[in-house]
Amino acid sequence: MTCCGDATIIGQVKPNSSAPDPAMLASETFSISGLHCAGCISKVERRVAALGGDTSARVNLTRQTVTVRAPADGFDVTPALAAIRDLGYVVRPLAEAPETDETGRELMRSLAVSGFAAMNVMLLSVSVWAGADGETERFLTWVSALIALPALLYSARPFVRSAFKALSARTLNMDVPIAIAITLAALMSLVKTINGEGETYFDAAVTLTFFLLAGRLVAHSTRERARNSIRGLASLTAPLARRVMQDGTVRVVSVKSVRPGMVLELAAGDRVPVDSRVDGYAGTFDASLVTGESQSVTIGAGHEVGAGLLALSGPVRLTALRDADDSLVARMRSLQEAAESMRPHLSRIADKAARIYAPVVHLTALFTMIGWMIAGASFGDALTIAIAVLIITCPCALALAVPIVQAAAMDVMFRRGMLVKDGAVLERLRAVTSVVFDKTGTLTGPRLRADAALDDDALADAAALARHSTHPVARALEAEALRRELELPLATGVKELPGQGVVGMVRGREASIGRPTSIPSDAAENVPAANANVLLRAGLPPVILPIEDTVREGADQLIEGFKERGMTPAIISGDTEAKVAEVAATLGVSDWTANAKPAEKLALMQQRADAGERVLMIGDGLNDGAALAAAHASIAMADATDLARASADVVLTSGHIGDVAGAMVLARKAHSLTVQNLVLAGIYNCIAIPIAIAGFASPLAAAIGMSASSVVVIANAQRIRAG
Amino acid sequence: MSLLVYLLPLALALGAAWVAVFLWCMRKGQFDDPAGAATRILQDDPPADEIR
Repeated sequence: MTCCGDATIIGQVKPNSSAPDPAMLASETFSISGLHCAGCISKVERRVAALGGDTSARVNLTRQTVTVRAPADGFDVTPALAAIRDLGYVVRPLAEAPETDETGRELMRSLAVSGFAAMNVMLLSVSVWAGADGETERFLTWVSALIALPALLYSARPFVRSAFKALSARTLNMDVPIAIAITLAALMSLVKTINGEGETYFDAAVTLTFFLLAGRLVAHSTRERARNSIRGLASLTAPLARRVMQDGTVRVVSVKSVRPGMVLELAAGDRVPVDSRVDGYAGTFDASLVTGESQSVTIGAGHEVGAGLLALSGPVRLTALRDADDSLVARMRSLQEAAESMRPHLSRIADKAARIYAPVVHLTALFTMIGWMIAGASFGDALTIAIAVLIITCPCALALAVPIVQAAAMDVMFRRGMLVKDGAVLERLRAVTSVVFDKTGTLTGPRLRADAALDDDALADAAALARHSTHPVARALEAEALRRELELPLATGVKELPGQGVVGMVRGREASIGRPTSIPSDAAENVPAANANVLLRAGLPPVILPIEDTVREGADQLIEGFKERGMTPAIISGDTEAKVAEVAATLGVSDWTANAKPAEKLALMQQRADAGERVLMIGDGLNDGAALAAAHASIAMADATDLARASADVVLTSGHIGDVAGAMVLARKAHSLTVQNLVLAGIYNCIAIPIAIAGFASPLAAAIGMSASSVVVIANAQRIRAG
Repeated sequence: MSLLVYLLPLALALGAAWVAVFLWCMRKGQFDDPAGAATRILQDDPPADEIR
């Protein structure tokens, strides 16, 4: 593995065939963070354009990406990236190639087509209601049919497809009654048009489709935005290892190709690629993300070191013991997958509603038809009334009731730095009965010691560099500088070396912050503690940055809050007993477990689940991945490992543990609004169904009732934004 | 009735044109970055040519 320097950019280079330019252009997309406003966009784009040579950049603020275009011949984005970094933005390769949002596009196209059809068919219907008769009515009805039928064939596909999927899996979802209502409305109206019998439901069918598509698009784009942000966070450790060949030369190879017996070399700041044995000299490793231990460990020659540990000293020689697939990280991942499959199938509130609702409506329609036939109506008339019942009770409001609330809630949370992966998470979050915390990195985080005798100048320089990193230590430095209200100088040429620190130019001096062993400077020898964070500046004596692991701000109130709601917070940590006991005592947590290995964490979670508890797990480490996946609901910190982020339901990008309380409040609010919406939809049906059964449902009443109930439900959902 | 023969196709053609323009815009990536588009309008300087 190498550092995240310019040489390790991964991703594919696509020749851009659509460019009219005779000189072929290629483009590559990177994640960029720190963009906020119009100024940022133009700064980045102009800076790259100023480089000349047909190199250009295009920022996408929504996705927080920047696409760099350069001539395909000798494609080189390094100068452009360096220029953007100089401006103070953090540019990283995307962990995965950006995908186009095909579902969103399909919904948008369908929405456009159904919107067009709805407007025009409504126009024609108004003419019919206004009293067009005879030839004119027939003509208008035929035109409606010609617009509505193709439009429905095109734009109702998302519902029909989903309904088919549910039926073939022998379940019911909300799309089943929707698809049936739309299909029946279209077919009945077509028959009536052919027979010249008047009253058709084309308008109801297309408006229904339009409203539902709009609701679905809103829900989808909210989810997509959260997903994009999570992808932007994804870590960028290139899957590479340095292999020492027979002749002593070092070659960079992919981790996948490492076989047991191969000799590997680690520089300080590299992660151990596969489970290995330490050769030669002992090495110091940071295991905090893997096991939760906050103290670094020294592993002597001949001992085994697990994949994922971070080398603090270097170089270290290793002999590979296992393949990548059998290594620690991979084993944890399979543990997580197993935990996920054990998670009880949690049915969503919307599907629950559909499962009750669909049979009731369909039986009502059936009995209506039988009732009318017994009462002496002809088969055709009875069928017409039955279909009217189906259409008028169409689950428009009901289908919107849940997702629209969830979309609004997710949007609010997104703005506050909480990324929610799925709306259903909110339901689970509300239902938790107990809460389990990880310690290292979750309840505790690094902070600059308060009694630090650190002068303002040194802190300002350190913070100027720290701004460019998301590492918790860097955040701590920046927070302290902000607290002291220091004016930060501009750092240029900044480079982050993962696990080592940040280097760059500050006030015309070469400077770096991080672990001293890793910083290429002569001054390093003067630094005593091997494990401390140090600020080095050319020509100035080194300054130790006194960082300590302390309880994060807001953690105590959060735990107090949980206690007030009658939950007993627990800590399950991989750290030593003494450290966990200390933190537990500070926070007043009586239920704690120390020295827990990942499998034990998982077992403890399962014990709780078996005891009937619905556990909320909050963690960040590699060792938490399985436990997060097994929990009823889970929250990960932003600087968590990929695995933890992948298994958690909510990712806190704000980094404030106290935000968990906000998430819980919003989840509860969303639930009460969902229930309100379901009641509103129910009330609408209680009024509409008797009218339809009695045979008084005109297409006009159907269209108005449906639209009004949808608008009421959507408006009610927006109340979550208030307060 | 006779008026409808002209007006109806006209209304439909306008509507269809709107749909076509919308779909074209979507394919050209007009809706790829709504947040960026909203702030780009605030950029007060002409494009990059003066820098070169």
